[in-house]
Amino acid sequence: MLQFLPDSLILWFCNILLLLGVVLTVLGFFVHKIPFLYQYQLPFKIAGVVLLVAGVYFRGGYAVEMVWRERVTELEKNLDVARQESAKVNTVFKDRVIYRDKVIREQGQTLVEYVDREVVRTITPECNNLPMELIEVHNRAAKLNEAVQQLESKTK
Amino acid sequence: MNRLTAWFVVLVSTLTGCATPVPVKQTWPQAPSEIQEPCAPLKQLDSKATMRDLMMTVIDNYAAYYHCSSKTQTWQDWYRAQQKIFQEVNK
Repeated sequence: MLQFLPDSLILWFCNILLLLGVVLTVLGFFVHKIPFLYQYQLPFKIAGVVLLVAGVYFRGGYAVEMVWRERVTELEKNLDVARQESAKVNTVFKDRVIYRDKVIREQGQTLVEYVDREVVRTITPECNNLPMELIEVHNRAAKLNEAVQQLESKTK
Repeated sequence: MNRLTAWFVVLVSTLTGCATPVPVKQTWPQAPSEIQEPCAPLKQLDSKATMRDLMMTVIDNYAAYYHCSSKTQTWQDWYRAQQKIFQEVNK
């Protein structure tokens, strides 16, 4: 709740409390010499001590509060810097993955064009009839991860 | 006097709770969507595939592998970079 109050207001409150405590405590020792007020010596002393203790307590609390606020401000500043750096890192890696994808796609396309332009015409009809074993082995290799997926689905 | 002391203790205890600072929350950043896409499954040959089909499938599958490898590598590098930034804040 103290975070919502202005610093100066809290400081003023603590200082007034402390000052009032000091004044009343000192008065408590001399009030018996003042006419009309001598019968209030005990209330003056009690109020003075209570306000003095409260004043010291709140002044200490204010100092601690200020330290915490300073730490929070510093941490927020660090977090802002971190957020900016993090956004920069994201942009760098996003651009990197897009660039790599583009290069891989282009290289693949170049290879496909090369196969169609140069390699296909060298393939003899006998070579074009792929043995079923070759196709099967290729397809099994392409599905190697299926065994893992089946095992995982069983454990779920 | 005792009652006054009791009230004073209650007042001080109540106000002590008010001095708790608002915690500052540090959140882990969101990774770029480009690296979050799953890897494409590898292509298979049909039973009447020709030599050209075989070569095209191999090219496509290698490309799929390299796309996936690039994403995985980027994930690892992204994590290390973000972890470094995250840890710097609390130093």
